[in-house]
Amino acid sequence: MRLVVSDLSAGYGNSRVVHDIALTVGPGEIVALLGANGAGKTTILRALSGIIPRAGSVLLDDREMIDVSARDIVRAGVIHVPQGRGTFGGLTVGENLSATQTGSAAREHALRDKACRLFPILRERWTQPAGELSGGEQQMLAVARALMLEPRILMLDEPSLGLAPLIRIELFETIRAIAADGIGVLLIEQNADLSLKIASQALLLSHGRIVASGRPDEIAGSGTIEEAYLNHAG
Amino acid sequence: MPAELQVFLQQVVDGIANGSLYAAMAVAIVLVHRTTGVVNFALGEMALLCIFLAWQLAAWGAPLPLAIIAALAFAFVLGAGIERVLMRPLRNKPPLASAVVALGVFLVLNQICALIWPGAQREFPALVPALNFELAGVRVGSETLLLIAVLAGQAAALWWFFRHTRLGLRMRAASDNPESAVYIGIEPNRLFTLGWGLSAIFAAMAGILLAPSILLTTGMMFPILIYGLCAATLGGLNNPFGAIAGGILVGVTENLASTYLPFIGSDLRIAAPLILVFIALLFRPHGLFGTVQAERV
Repeated sequence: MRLVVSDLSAGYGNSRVVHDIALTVGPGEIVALLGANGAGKTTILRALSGIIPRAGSVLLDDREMIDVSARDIVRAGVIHVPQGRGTFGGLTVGENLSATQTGSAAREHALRDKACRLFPILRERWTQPAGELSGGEQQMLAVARALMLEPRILMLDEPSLGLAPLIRIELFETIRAIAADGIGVLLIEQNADLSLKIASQALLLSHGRIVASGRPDEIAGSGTIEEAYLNHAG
Repeated sequence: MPAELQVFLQQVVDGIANGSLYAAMAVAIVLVHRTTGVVNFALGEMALLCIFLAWQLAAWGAPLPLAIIAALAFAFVLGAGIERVLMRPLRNKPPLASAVVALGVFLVLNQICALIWPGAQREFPALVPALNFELAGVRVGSETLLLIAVLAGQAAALWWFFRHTRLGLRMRAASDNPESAVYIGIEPNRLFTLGWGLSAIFAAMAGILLAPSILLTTGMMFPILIYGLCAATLGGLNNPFGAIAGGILVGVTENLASTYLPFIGSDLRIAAPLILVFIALLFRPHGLFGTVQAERV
């Protein structure tokens, strides 16, 4: 499945935060969305999830999704793991995973097994409330929960936020494995170096617009990253 | 068995029977509160309208079970409708707004009942034949057994629904974190409407179980609402099983206090559970079984 976004603009109330966004995420690709805080990265993901009003074009294969509801976007296979993990703290790990599924019990078991193979710690924490997990475990649960929905496009917003360096590296290896399974990944990450290491394509965002795009080595070598971050800070 | 112990056990059994009614109302209160954060003061009068409706259908010749099923179905529509029309627009407003609207619904429904069914007090048909059973000198009536059986059935159904059905899990997820629920394709509003509908059924069941033992009046559900609020607060406003335990505790405390504390007697019996709630909240501010969600960062 291919996600093709063009002329996307979105914002909150009457204010437009992002403008003229164009990007493509193909099967198995990892597209890194880089930019300083406030550049509009999260707004793009929220717009693609149908959480906030948006205009432009969002094609999923050849289907126009711009007027589709958030629920139907999830059903179409575009899954967003929001910043701050967003797990259900009062539900156990197992319940967090089961709450996502609407398919048969056999399908649920198969997906649960697959998610637990990627994140074995979740099986050990199975009956523990999600709110009692460590930050890293909650992040793993959030990604596992998204995988239960059989995503074809997975959008991850700051998955490594607040994680210890070793867990961060482990998580990024898992993201690479998820993409290797044919799932397209749109990744927002403050740690540009880490995301460029696993990305197949990178986009640099500044003040709500894409200011550079290309292969990770092109973006990393051009000096535009530092420029975008410094300009935004200024 | 010594006579004193026999009296004590009799009061406990009768307290459990009363407590079952309070528990059913408390569960209704908790279902609404844990999904939408609203304390629905109108639940008693919603139940009242359903009791009168069941009575009316039976008076017109409908078989009693059918009349009750129709009234419970009406309760679901009423609860869901109130959420959809009156409460949803107030979702992000201060909690006082919802509380005031709920009180308004309380008054309107009460007046509707008074208008449609004015005058003489009415008798609700018995739900089961009046039989008395005796074990070790403790008498238990068939209606008491029905009350306890219905409450046990409700508790089991609730446990199964919230733990073992996807719909129940999704309802818990939506109330736990509505914003996050949207990201996995849950529409919290639909589930909140369902929660209100279910809670109205629980309240109506409490009312219909109470109805055969008293004359129908427009004031009959108010004490049950107050006891239900006590039970829900005592058990924990976010825990339906805590509400059931709270209901039983309130019922037993009320009976024992009115029997053994002469200055309370039957006039001041409602004071006993209120004092119990006050003391319990001093030590457990979220109720005996209420939980504060842990969140590690």
